[in-house]
Amino acid sequence: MKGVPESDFLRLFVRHETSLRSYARVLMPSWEAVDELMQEASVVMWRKLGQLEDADGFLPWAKVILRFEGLRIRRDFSRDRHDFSEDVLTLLAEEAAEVSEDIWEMEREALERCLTSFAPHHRELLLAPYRGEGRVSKIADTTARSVNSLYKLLGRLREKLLTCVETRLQESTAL
Amino acid sequence: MKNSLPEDWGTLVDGYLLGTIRNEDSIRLEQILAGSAAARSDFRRRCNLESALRSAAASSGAEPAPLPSTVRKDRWKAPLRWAAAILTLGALGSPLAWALTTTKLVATISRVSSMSDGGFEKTVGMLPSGFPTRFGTWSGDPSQTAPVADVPHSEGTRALRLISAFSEGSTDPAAARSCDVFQLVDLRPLHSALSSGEAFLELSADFLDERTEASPEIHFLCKICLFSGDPAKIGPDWPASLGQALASSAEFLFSRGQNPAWRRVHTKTLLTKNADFALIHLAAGCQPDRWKGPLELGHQFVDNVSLSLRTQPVLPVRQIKP
Repeated sequence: MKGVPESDFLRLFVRHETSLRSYARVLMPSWEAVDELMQEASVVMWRKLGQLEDADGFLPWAKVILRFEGLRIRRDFSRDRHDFSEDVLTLLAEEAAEVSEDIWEMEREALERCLTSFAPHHRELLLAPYRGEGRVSKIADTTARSVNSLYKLLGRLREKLLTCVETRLQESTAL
Repeated sequence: MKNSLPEDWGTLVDGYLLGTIRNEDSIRLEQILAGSAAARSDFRRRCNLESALRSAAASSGAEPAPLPSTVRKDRWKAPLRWAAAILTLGALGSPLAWALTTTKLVATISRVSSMSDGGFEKTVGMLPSGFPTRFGTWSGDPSQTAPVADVPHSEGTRALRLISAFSEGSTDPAAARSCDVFQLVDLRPLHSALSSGEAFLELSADFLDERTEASPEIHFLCKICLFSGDPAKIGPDWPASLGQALASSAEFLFSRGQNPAWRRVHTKTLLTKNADFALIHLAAGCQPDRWKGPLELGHQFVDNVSLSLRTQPVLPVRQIKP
């Protein structure tokens, strides 16, 4: 019998959560918006689970739902600041969905390895924006540097990290 | 590909991702994305790396707080939002009528007490060799509890040093690709927690690669497998017995040395109702293509292993026939 039982839904969702969050980040302007999208989309996925023929098709199917829910949520965003047009978001969503899961995973794995090559205080700064509001300011306080100079350093470190990731990816594809 | 992008491309995307972008820059970023497939491709990659950075921050964060057996609602907004979302689904998405039950809307997290000595404080000296034969004891390949010199310890006063790789049934040292340690954990006391809702087991461990020089790459493994039946039958057929696992989950951490620091790794798996015991598997090893010759260990440590049970609220609705 084809189909995915409801009891398997949570297992599939948890297994693919990292991939789905990465894809959602392409569509949404902040992590708070990603959380909102994941919540809304999970409800839709649950409701439409009957459309899914087998568990292997879960990830691409879930990405389609994320895309449509993401566009819907962004339409409702406050208009007090600029937001990307629906055309641009659709292009981003479609092209991102065409990238194989292997590539997404290779990139994340390369980043994890590259992070280990940074000095501990640089790694701390790279991760600071994801450890709660005010973390960069706290580092500025303890290191007697200005927040502005730390953000500039953070920008340079992020570029260095990206270069490291790209080098690793080129090496692995050359093998 | 990147040659076609403006010089401040990285700054623009970073500003967007970090939420510090100005309106005029956001408009320019959108224009570049609309006109350049290369820009969209690079944007996607940066979003993915942003996601990986966030995960890395979460897994290497500050010391975890002590875990209460039941947590307050406001500390568990995410599962509650999820449950609330399901409620909404029930109210809006079904042609049938739905009604609230009296089910307690509380997510819980608690330590699994049947996992023993996660800090390696009670085990002294070398671990027993081979696969564990009873619940709550560590054993495996050559490894020894020891104080961690020169690097602040992760938890308590001791940690487990993974001394050398060992290959069952082979005398060729080059065939040994990992140092593995195990513990069997009795899950039967948890069955009552499975009477309603979903439950997960989350395994966490701190790992340290003490090598100060740039070194060949090794990986650390943090893995949990769930089984039913007789735990004594798992060891003799290892690793073929992995095929009998009801569920499993693993997370790797890669290291080339240079920056000794404890890093925390988490992995979680859905706890199935028929799971009688869990196998905790921790290791340091290498891929055959990344390290020619025998694997040199001894500077790798594991500490502060914890196993937690997380429960999420049962679907707080029941269906009423029309």
